[in-house]
Amino acid sequence: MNAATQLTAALAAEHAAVYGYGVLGSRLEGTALEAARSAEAAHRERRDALVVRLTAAGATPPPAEPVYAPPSPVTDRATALALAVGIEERAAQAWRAALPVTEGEERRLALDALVDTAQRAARWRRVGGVSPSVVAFPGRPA
Amino acid sequence: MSVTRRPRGPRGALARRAAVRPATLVRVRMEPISRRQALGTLVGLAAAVGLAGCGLFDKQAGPPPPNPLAGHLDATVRLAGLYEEAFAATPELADRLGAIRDDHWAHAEAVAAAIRKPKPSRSVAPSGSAPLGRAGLLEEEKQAAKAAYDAVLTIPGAYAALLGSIAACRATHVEVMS
Repeated sequence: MNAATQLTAALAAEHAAVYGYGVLGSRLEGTALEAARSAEAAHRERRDALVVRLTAAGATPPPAEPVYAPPSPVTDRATALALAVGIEERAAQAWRAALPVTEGEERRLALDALVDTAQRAARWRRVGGVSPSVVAFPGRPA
Repeated sequence: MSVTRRPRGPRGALARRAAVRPATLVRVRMEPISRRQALGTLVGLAAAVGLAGCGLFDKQAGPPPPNPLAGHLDATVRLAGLYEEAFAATPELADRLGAIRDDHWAHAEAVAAAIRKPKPSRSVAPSGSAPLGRAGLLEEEKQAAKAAYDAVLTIPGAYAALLGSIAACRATHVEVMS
């Protein structure tokens, strides 16, 4: 696995995250909806930064898929919060996997993303009443 | 490591290239090189020999450098110990922060396993200072989060994922405790 492969995998996770927040946002309101919007914006930003970086490195960043199927139907607030946690966990895994094969600025990009996704996952767990909200090894495959 | 396991490292590659393309090597040798290039070559050679583990410079080399994770093991055990001391003095703290203390022990055990050290004992020596309260633990947590974050940026790739998860976990601790 090289850096471009893992960063491309991270890009795929970011595409899915942006789409997923669009789906789950419709089931949230109030502060949770605001948090979802801000999370979606953060994923968009990270996605765009990755596209720029991969393009500059001579790779062809894959576009988003037209549609993504959530692992289980999003029908209410609880299922929306569960999807939000799942989105962040999946992104955390992709970014963590990029750490061993990157260095310098790319390592920092991956680490910042891992920290952000871990913090958002913990916030969503708290909103959803999951305890403990913190996991020992964010991004480590289960 | 035995002599028969001498790897075919950069020197081997260079020798092969020289055998195939003698003209190239001669031309390169004829060109004057700067001190920096010469130093770079030496450093590169030393690194290659060092990696081989049984090279020319072994006699001059001291003990092997400590594993880059070794300091993190000690620091993580110390951090977990600070929570244990705080809980012993103020048991109510364990209700809110017990899961965080557990994360630190899990980190210490994972780091120990990664560098093939024995599983750390949970009965740690007293730190010698007064038990910390919630604010003191938060301050320690912030420093530990930053230390792990900074270390991930330069640590060898083999340890980057483990230490990255630890850095991310500590960042979530800081948020939960703040």
